[in-house]
Amino acid sequence: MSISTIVEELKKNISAFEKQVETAEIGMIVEVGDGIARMSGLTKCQSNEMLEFPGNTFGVALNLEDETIGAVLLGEYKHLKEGDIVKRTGRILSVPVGKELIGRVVNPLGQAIDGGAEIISKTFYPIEKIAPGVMSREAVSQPVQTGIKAIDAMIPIGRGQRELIIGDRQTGKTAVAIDTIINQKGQNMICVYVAIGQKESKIARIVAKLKESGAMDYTIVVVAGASDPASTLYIAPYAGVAMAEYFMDQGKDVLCIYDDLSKQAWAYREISLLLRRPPGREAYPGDVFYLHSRLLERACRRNKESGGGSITALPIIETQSGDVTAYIPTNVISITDGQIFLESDLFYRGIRPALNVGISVSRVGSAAQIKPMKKVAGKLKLSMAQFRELESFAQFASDLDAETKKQISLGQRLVEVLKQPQYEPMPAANQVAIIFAVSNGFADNIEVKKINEWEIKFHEFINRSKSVLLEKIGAGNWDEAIEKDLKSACEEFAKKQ
Amino acid sequence: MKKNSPRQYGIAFWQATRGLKGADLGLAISNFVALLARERMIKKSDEVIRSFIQYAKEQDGVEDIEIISAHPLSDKVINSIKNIFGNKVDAIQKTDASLIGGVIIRTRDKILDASIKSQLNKLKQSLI
Repeated sequence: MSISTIVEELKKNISAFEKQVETAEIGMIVEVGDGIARMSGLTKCQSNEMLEFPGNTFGVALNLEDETIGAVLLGEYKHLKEGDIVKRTGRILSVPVGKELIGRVVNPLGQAIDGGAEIISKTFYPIEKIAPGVMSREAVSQPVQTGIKAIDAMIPIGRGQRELIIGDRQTGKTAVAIDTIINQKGQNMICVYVAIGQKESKIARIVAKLKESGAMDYTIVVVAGASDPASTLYIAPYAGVAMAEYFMDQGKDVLCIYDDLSKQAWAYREISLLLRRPPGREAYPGDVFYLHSRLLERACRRNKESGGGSITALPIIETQSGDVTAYIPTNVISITDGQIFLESDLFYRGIRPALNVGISVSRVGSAAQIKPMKKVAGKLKLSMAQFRELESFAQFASDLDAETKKQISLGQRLVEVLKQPQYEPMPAANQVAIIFAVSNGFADNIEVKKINEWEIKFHEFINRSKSVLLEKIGAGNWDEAIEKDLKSACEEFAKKQ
Repeated sequence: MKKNSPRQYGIAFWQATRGLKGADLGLAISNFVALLARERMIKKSDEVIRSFIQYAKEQDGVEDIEIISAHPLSDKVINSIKNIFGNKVDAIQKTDASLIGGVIIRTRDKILDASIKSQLNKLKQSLI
């Protein structure tokens, strides 16, 4: 463009510029530090309103007291001092939402932190929103295939359900979540992974793994790292669900993973104590239940009249020494529609995923399973429960009757088959096939130690030669003909061994 | 028991001395000072007095405004600004050359920015 045209444009823009007198309601900082600020003035400030501090810093007004306002600061606050002017923005804290966020790693304010292009979004959603009411919801009936045999068979998760993943440190909670995300490829789901208070190195590894598996094509990663201020950790899950709600409003299905909510509760406790709110049990503020309940209630399945779509929530809670009777774990257990218990001693015994099937529950259950899985895995939980009762007798195997021996042998093989390596989610049809094979005795002659090898060969076999059958099963079909076909496939494989 | 803030003392003092005159007023004042001494608030007396003045002004409907301009303003301009805010206005004037022109008016809880400096800033934001 020539210089004269540029000058013309500039002159046009300048003359079109409308002078406006800016009015802002203000207050003055009285005290600032530790991520919170107290202001005088701001007489018309509303609760949870976003406030603008000098230096383009924002904060949320949490405490509306008689003479001061207590606000939590989102971002750097070293440049703030007593006497600085604070302005009202008149709106609730909102985050940018939209398709531009998919595949990106962002902070809870929607700013890109993966070194890529700046995210410019036209739509903003408030982070606090009232959850959909009773009449706009629908019962959960579509499955979320996690790709993990133990979960899809015995503790199935549906679209719109909230399922808690709870366990001690290093038991594989994040692994379950990541495998679920990886398995959503081709399942028409958008995933939002909210990392709260995690080590940045762990998050980098997770993002690299998701990129490698092609999962970033449908995933948004929201990061509030361990070194971020407590206010950022506090709003991170709400920012994640706001981004998910944008897609739900378009009728899509979204999976939201909050890893983990224990750290969000700690961050909320920190800012509440700094704001001098009275501490309750374990020094948590009185409304720590509401902190999690209003987050998790926004995960639902909406009926068609209200726009359709669903948000499935997988919150993660870390327990200390397996204590699920502590304050936060009991709170979140009572909010969610089921829990997946991961135990350290199962993990060390080699059972990975370290799922305790006995106390894990999915309150949606088989309503969220495809028909073949329902048929095949129906008795699985019962067999496992019977096996667990008899497990201690397995040492005296020679002194038992045939019936008990059979149950123990089946149980041991089922336990082997339900083990699964990390980052290897299995398609639903293959899961149905292997569980069918083992439950109907096709692995009875294989040594327990060699079951894993046998399983690998089994999958190779059916993937190679029975792909039509697998497709039919994967689409949710199940009748006598398919069952017969599957049985003959297993017999064929058994003969080959 | 929660300690009372200096502002609460100022407000209480205003409410106690409403309509008092002469000897009654003198008695109220000396009692109040004794109260401050008992509650160990003498050190905060500056704040108490400030809150008292501010609260009294609020109750009487007197607006406190601060007019910041780039150059000293004539009385006519100041009076017309005062008139915008009603009859009873206490105005403090300041000059700040960095505003280039125009005026910033600060009331107790609002700020009206009509300075050339902010207009230029907004123009800059809209152009880039």
